[in-house]
Amino acid sequence: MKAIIIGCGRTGSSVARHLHDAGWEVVVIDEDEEALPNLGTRWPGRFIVGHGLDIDVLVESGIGDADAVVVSTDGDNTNIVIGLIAQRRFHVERVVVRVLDPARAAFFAERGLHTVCPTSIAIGALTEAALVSEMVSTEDASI
Amino acid sequence: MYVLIAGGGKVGANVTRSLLRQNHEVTIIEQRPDRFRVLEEEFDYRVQRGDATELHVLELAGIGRPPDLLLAVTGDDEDNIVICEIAQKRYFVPKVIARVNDPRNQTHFDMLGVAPTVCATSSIMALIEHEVPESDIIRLLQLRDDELEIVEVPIGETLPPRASASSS
Repeated sequence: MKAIIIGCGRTGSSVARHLHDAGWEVVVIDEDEEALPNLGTRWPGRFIVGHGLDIDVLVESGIGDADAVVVSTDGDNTNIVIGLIAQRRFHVERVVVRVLDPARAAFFAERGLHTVCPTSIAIGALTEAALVSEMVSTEDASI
Repeated sequence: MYVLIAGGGKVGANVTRSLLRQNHEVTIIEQRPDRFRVLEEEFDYRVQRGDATELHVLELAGIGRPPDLLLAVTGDDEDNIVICEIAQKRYFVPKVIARVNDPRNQTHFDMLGVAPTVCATSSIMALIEHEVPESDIIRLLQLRDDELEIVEVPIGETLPPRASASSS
């Protein structure tokens, strides 16, 4: 299985390592060559310096026969547009895009883009954690 | 008509000025605080502060009416594409015009159906071709959808007069 990871920050680099550990062939793209160390000291996969909207860079990465594309740069709109290009131009079956703004994540999800919104996930987890503490304190009170 | 303009740089501000002079109703969205203040001094309540790719900012600016026309003229191509997608698909804005900052991104606008577009670099290249032609055929207008173009071909005195059709 082959994955292209676009954006090699904390999130992208970790996803790349996890997929590599799972036996995937992984190609990472980032504008900044200084992002390479995020992948650890000995990254065995490919690392391409370039912009994720550059068609030549995408072609060079082998996006045409990728099983999955994960887009996780630091810009929501950049991620959305790269995701749409991967889906509609290169017909990649599984495209996952990080979008921090919940409203935009929901809108583009409705339009068929698989978006993951860390903000919504954090809101859910934090709210749930707070409600659990309420339950615990209610239990305490009933004892 | 009611026009919503995303991006208050030189392009956005000047288009706003021109449209207001023609008695159109305009709201312009600008994110940067320094630019916003300058625009607000000139255009008063017609300026909405915020990120035009955020739905609630677009709604505050009146995208729900919807406007007759939206111009996405920020300095960021991805932002302009996303603004047009949201305007067309979510708020059913009947007409959008987008600015292409980097001509290499033109293909993305085309593929995602964001049209018409305006690109300063491409216009300048076309002008160069017009002013300093490398061949006798001068491209006047590209009709993107139909893969047709209107060209200018100077007819010299030595050419025999006859009707002919040509295709390139």
